[in-house]
Amino acid sequence: MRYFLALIFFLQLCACFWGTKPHPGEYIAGKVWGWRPVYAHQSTYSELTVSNTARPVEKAGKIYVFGNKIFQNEIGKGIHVIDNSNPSTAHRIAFWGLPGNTEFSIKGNYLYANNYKDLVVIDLTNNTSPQIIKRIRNSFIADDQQNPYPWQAPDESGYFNCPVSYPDSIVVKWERDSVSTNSCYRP
Amino acid sequence: MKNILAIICAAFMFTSCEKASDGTGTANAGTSVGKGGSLARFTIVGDYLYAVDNSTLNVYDIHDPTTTRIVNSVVLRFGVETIYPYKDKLFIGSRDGMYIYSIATPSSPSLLGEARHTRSCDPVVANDSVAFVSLMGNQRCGPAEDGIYTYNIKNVLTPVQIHLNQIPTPNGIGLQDSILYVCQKTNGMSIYNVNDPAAPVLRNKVTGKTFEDVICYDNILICYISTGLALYDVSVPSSPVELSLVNN
Repeated sequence: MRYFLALIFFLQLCACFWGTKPHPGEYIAGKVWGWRPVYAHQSTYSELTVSNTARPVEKAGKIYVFGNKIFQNEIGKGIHVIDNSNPSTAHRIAFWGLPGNTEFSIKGNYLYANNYKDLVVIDLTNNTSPQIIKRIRNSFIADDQQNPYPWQAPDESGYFNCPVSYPDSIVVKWERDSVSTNSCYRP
Repeated sequence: MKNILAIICAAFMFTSCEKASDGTGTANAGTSVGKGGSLARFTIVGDYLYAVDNSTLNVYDIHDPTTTRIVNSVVLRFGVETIYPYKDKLFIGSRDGMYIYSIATPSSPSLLGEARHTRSCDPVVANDSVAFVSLMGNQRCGPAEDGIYTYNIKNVLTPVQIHLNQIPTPNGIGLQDSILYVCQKTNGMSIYNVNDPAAPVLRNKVTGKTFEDVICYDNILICYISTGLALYDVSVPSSPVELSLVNN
């Protein structure tokens, strides 16, 4: 596999030198201001980071209620824990950082959530130090161009370099860049 | 027998906006399930986690969390946005319609009925006889006319549209008995009496916040707003009284 990738890389490199000049009138892809994917290795986003202090809401996400706690997603970042034992003074008490998270559900002492493409099971038995106890890789992989996952396309419409699918890495953010009009496009 | 028990359990756990069964709600009861909003794409019924992945409904066996495993993957039409459990059924909102699946056999959801509509985003809530579908047409979702579409589902095999309430930008919705809460983003939250589902009556409107979704929980309305959360006392269901704001 490694040699195969190396070969592809080598051939692409060659193509840079050996590519023929377009003839007059031939279509040439333009360059536009778009987005390029930034990848990270799974070792950098697979950890649950627990902070037992409140963190401000930046981009509020979906909500879930369980017992006297409310949980609110911080879109793509993790889960706010809100103490609702007295609804008149409900307040955030913790933040569980889980990169790529948008969805979760709880049964008993266990929280089920997405960590980018993976489904993870988090043990809440000790609620100040939750732990990931199970991971099912590549559970959320459907490709829906109308409603892509954040690692499949940028939020905004426009041209973007088509992301490559690697077995151990994923697109963690999108950065502004000059991209070809031959690249992917989000309407 | 196991299936029948599962149905009975599901029936008790998932009536719309029921009183919370776990009262004080310590997270110790090993089998209790929480409650999500109408925009959720994950839901747990009994020993199974149902998670929609755009065009598939994945079923995970979670009876032992440490050995959680996928047991089924049901291909749906496309563009699935939301999943709402009610008794032994799942109401799935996709961009081209509402689908009703039976989970009488929990590991094998089977399609019962569907109501197709013009393309849009569509959270669903339902009870025994009626399903409310919130359709918001926009650039991303599709061209459908904004509104609350109401279906008679007494015969789940053939849902029949009985009303269309054309209101701007409806998003998440919540149903408590005969009151329907409709989050309308910057247009506030509208409160309808849907005692006669074919003729909803606007009872009240809360404005000043961007409302995205809502969970009815005991006599508390938990609202997902653009800046975080807003909690309301709904002892009088049509007259929410703000209790607290948990925002940035």
